[in-house]
Amino acid sequence: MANLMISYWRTLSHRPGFALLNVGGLALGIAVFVVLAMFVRFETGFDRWWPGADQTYLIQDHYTLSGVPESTSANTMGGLVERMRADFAGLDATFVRSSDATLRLADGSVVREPFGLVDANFFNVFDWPLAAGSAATALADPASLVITESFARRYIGNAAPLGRTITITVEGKPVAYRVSAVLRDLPDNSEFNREGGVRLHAIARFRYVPGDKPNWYHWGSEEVSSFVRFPTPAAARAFAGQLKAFIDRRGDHGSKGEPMSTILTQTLLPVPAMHLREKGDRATVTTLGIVGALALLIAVVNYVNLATARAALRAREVAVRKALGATRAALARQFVGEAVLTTALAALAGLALVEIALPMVNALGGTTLHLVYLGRDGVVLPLLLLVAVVGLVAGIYPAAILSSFQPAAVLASARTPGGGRTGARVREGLVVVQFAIAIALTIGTLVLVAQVDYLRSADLGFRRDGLMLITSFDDAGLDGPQRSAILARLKAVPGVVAATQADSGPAFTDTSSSTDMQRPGGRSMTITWARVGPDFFTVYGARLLAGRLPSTRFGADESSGAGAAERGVNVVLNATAARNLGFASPATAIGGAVKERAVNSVVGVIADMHFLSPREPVAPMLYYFTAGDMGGQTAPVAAVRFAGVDPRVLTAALRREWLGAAPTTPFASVTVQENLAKKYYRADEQRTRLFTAGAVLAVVIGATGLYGLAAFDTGRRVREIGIRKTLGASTAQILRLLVGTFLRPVLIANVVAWPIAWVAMRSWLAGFDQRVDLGPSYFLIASLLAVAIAIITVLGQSFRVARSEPARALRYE
Amino acid sequence: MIALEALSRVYRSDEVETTALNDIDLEIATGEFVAIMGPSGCGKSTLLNLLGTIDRATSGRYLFEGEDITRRDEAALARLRRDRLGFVFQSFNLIDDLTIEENVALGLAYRPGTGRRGAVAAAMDRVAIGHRARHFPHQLSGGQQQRAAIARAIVGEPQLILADEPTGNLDSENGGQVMDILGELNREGATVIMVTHSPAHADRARRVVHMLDGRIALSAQRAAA
Repeated sequence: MANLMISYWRTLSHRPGFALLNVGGLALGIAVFVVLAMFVRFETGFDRWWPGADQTYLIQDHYTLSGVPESTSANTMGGLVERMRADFAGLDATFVRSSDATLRLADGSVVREPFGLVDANFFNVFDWPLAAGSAATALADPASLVITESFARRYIGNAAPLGRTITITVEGKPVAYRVSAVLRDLPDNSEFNREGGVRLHAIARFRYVPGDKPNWYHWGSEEVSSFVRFPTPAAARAFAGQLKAFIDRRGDHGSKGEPMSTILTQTLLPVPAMHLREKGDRATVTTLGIVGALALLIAVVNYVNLATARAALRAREVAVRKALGATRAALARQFVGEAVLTTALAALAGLALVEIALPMVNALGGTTLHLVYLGRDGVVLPLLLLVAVVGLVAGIYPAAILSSFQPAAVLASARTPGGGRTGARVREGLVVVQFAIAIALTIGTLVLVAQVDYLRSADLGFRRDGLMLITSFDDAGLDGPQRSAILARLKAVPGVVAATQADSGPAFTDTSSSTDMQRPGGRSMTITWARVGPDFFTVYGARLLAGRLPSTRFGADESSGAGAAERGVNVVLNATAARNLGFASPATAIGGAVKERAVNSVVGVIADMHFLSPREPVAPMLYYFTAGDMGGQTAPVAAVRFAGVDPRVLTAALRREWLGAAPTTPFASVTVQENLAKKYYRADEQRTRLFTAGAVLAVVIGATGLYGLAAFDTGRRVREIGIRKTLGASTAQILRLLVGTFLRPVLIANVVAWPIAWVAMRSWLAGFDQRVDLGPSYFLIASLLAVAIAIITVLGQSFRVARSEPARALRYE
Repeated sequence: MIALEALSRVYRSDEVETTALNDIDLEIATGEFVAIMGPSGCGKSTLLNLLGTIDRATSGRYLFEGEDITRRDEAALARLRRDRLGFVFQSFNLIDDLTIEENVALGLAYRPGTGRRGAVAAAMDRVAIGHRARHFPHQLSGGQQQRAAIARAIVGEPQLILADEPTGNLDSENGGQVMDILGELNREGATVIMVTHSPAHADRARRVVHMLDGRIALSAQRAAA
């Protein structure tokens, strides 16, 4: 062992270039693998910190409605848990109604915090650790408030939180809560602590007041997140099997009297699976894990290739050791041992690289990854296992080749073996594998980047720049007249071109409503409708395809007011709705009738506005015009078109104006670009950046290996080159010969990579309704890049040898 | 000690069959110093490789101390080399990345047991290379490298020393020193079989085996000096 260590150390210290290639390449591969494995573990490990997570399930609603794509919702009607408890005795269930709480601070300012109104059984299902108080009594009183440690620090400071009274305005109603328990802060990878998830910084009991929430028992409404908990997966499956009958028993009937389960079904989703439930999420995360594994594979291939290429240089050592009595097994152990040592060194260097790179990775990927060395999530044990496995995988083939040399043949020959023709073919095959992976990853990167760019700039049917959403406009503390007053003040802010309010806005889903509609005598289908205020279409820059936009000049355009719903009003359709309803063209839809409760008349058709996820097709939309106040069951969002003013300056001005009109309601706004990015694009962009970084590094590792291989191979062929030059070959001819040797596997790699990349990227793009065409340019560019990298990598080595004098080359051996 | 009976070695490739050794019969007694001579390609090194068990005969028998080792498995032959044979090569074959001391220690590396440091030092002193123990092979002259190689060969106190043109890469002075060492080892009881092109060095042996075209042309016993 000591001999092995000494010999190994000398090999590295005497050949720093080789050491850098071998250990450095492997270290880079391990670093990429570890970072992406950490990312995958983070993304797939949501809520696994909590032992009860696997026993707890989110109830999902699945809608199968005529005329619209099937959809899934993480929310259910509010009364679902109550109905289920009545039908399933002993069911352990609860619900969370996500809301924003408004707190007035000592300095008079108001802040918003994610708030959960929950069922009294909450802590029986979510048996999360408490820092203070008792779970049994935490929600016993309707005025009890459970807050997180960080919430307590922020708003109570160092004082003891238990028993303190905090007045919080929830859904427009101020309530004096008394802190009954303090919840330990939830980790970063919890769906209950993630922006966009069911965030809970403070928890209180929900109080149902009849008449206050008319949709509370309405199937299809999305009031709460409902959860059930079972001791075993079998019990969960048994419960899920009874849901169809439950829905048909308890649910309403469809418009044609069909059972509810033909429209709505429910499934159970384990809490740990909540985080990656959106379409494409899990596949993307898995793909990133695969990129990490492929980068490591390329690095391992490098090691194998360099080790077997170097075999020529070590043949004499093997022969001498065999002559001195070493068995083949002992030599194989030595070479595997060297591979394990190399991997161990590379793992150490890789860990250092990970530490250095993590801040950048977190910035790129929007993550909060950090290395933990020991303990349950420690990296040391998995890394030791990785070292053993990678060391064995990387070492076995070179060990088999090296230990098989026949000492007599090696010692008798002036030439040294390099694994023979088979060895050369294996090396060439491995280069094909490396470059096929590198080319496929490059194609993937090009397509991902193009798609993400496309999403940022694609025509969404409205003008997304110069547009700001006032998201606090939906605060439950505001009523219709207040909103109209606020809107009037906002319109007067310098830089504001126009402002409007509507139930619909980009990346704003809270108030969308869908219902069955039809042309008289036609087929019934589900159409999403929204109330829109004056200037809605001009604020968004919608494109009118036919007819006209609604206006206060036409009395029949107004949808609010007594009797409007019964007598029918003028409406605007989007192109998809017009098409789905069977109108041959937008123009033919004008004057057409669309029946909901009453028969409405179509006065305009606009181009589809892609307000929601680029992964989903645009829903058929019908717009009701409302010139007056918007109150009622749903709260609208305001949109402001601005020009000639910096968004930050505008935001400050809007805030001032807002607080003048509604001092007790905190102001919140976001540009449409930012809102779309936050809700729909950012995750893909972040993952694309990680993919790109992983792919680029994988290509670099592959090129490093090719460089090393070229160096060894060129060195081995010095004598051959000398002979060729003596026979009259020019430098250019020698160069072509040497570069051609390495170009061949790279060209073959294209044949392997193209179909794989095409299938993978086509499948990924299919997840987007808006997507780029998968044209040949991505493939050609990736291949040209690979060829260029290969040529540049090999050229330096080859040029030096090709130019040397033949006499020197012949003296070399 | 050694008996070869009708030993042949044929190399076959796709189209060519080369008989390197043809029906060799040879006996070598314990304590002999045998020189093998002959023109290039006559099979001298092949014979030495077969004697050293780093190559296998195509036919015939190889008896080592009365035991037929012709068909012994690789591991058994490795043990035989480890415990009883020592090799000296024309091109030294020291491992570049190891110091002289470590190269010499390699002669014991595959043996079980401890207490090697003393044996290594003794072997180096024996060939007067101890002062170069911490140097690497490329820092030594050819003669010093060959003395180090001899130290490696004798560190395990082998019964049989096989030397393939041990002076081939050395000047006459260094060559003479190497031959002195081999002669001394032989006098101390080791059997030495040496391939050489040098008649002067062959004169140091008690028997000279002349080879031609893969056969033993003449085996001549020299009178004791």
